[in-house]
Amino acid sequence: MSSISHNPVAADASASVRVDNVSKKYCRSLKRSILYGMKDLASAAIGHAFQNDHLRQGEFWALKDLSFQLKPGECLGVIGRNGAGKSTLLKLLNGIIEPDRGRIEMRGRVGALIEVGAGFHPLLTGRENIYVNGAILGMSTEEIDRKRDAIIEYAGLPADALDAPVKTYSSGMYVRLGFAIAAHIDPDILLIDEVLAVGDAAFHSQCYSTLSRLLGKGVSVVVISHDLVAVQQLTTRCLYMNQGAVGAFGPSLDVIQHYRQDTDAAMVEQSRAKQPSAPPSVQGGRFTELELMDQSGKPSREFRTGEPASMRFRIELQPGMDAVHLSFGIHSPDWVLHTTYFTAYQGFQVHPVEGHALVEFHFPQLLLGTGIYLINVGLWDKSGLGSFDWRWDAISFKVTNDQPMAGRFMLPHEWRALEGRIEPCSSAVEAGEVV
Amino acid sequence: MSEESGHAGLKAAPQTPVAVYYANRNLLLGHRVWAEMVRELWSARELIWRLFCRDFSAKYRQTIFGILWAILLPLGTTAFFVVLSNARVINIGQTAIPYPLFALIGTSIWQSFVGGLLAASGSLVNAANLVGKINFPREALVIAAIGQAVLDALVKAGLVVLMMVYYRLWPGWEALAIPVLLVFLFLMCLGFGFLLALVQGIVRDTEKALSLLITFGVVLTPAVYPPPEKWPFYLINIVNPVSPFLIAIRDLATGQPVSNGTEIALGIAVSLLVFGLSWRIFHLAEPKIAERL
Repeated sequence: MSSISHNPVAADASASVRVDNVSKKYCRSLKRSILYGMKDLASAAIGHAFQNDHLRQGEFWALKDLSFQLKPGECLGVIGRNGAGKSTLLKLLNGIIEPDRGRIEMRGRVGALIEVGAGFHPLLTGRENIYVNGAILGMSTEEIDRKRDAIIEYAGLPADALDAPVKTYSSGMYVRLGFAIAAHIDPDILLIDEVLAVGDAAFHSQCYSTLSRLLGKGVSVVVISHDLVAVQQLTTRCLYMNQGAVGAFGPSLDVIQHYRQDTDAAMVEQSRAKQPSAPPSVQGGRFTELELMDQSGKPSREFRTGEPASMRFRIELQPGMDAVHLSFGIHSPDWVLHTTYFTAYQGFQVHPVEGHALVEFHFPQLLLGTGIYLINVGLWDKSGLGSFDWRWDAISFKVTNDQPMAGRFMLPHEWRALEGRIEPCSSAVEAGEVV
Repeated sequence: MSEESGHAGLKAAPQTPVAVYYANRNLLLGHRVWAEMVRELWSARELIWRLFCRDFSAKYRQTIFGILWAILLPLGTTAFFVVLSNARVINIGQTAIPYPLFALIGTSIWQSFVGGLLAASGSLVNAANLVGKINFPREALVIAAIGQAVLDALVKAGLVVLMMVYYRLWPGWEALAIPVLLVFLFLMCLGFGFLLALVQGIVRDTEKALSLLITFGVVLTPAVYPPPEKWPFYLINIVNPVSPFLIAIRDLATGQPVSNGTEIALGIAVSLLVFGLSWRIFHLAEPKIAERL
């Protein structure tokens, strides 16, 4: 299927992480897993190799034939849906669990942020826990003594918190201290599993600047995250894992786009499935027709970046309603709202004729980036506070684009050479070997 | 290709440490694994000390009596048996030294040993979060747990000394052999601890079984009665691996002649065997346990 898994890249002597055809199997049934555990333990005790190659009943490959290499200073993003095998991969890289097939080679001191603050004892103070956690992460007492002040400063905890038991900490403080310790282990290879999801914005930016500093020093980083924007910014290459196998591997931009297409489609399916056919209550008025159209006025669900697009609302109002407001917004399947328009805020209202109105919302240029989008619409009373008909996920549509791009928007733009010159060329971007 | 420590994170080597992982690695290393195990244990010495300190200071932090609990437990058991014996509910027979002292030494040793087993058996499971998330020598958890039992034993020893002063009983120079015997006793405790910790990682039955052992074990050990001399009760002195150590330590502490030289030699051999074998199995099973916790 993929050139990655079957022809591992020629062994690169400078690689700090080398993963060769690694597979790992798991068992979901507790009973069987106990049985297999006892068997494995017993066979180990009498000196027999564990049975690894074939699946026993109830087992499945959590990770299958995975291969990649990572050079010093390189940052690999690992993305994928829940249960795709991302955390399993990180545990394998860290040597916490053993592969059932294949080989992993790690050159250098490994630091892992699989769960920050694991090993904190709730009753001990922050200061005491620095020593315990540091020792667990492999630091000597002398090393911790040396780095303690830097750790404390980095964590930025309130002065009185350090000598309080960590069970009195907020979850943000907990993570700060954990990350501060882990950031000071001076690893050659750093493994990070979604720990950046916790903490406030200031903490995030601190994490990211620490990471880029480490990358600059030649540390190899493997980072699991669902925050695609962060992955995009931090990583050079990405591994998209899909049910334990390689979904895509290559330059981050391409892989993230590939992943986004897959997940967007799945999320649209989901939201469509739970969509009510008609609004629950009709009071005051409702939409009788909603249509998204291309420039020729034909209904369309697929646009190219920059094409015109129109949204048509047909509304039906009950007698006595002399004015209403309309809202229109675009969001992506991950519930991020990208742009909204509301007549009440824009300073006008819609007056029906004999209880009817047909309104068009027009984009001269739909400047959205590649991806799947959803439209939400609302029909409001004339105060703009009460809604008559409100539909989230009313219509979904797709935007395509020839160029790979990150982000959700393509703003009107132009490149100008004020010195030197700009000329067209054949293939500008170094084509990524996306699998 | 150098295939060094599996715990790359723990090596502060000047040259680049290289860790290689593949299926059955520990098994395929063969006898070379022993060198790795010793190196790993040595590199974990500071971690063991940290974990020991952590457990110790956390254990008594939310208690009123604190470390006194180490004394209250054997005192309570001793008092219980003294009362039973005085009331003739049980017939202890003749002991060479005052019965309260006799029972105190016995129960102290037994409770330290069982306490060690109990702490060690839960050490992996209680740190499941850690074991599954961070790579470090898991032996450290078990050893630190046994460390608590050793500390307990030392506190109890202090109590025994006080009671000996009270009875004006002075041991001879032979008593210097006691620490040596204790080392082997706790080495055996550690060995069993390794196994129990592993097994408890897979099935939780050991917890229940151990509570049974604690309830009935004290009467299956010559802790509160003199070593039986008649068949089949004589077996208690041999089959229970704690018995030879307990009998000899009590004799040495109270200036009695040591009566069970052969059993002691056997006990030491068993202790070394159990320790070595269990440590090896523990090391072998480490990556397998991590995924099942």
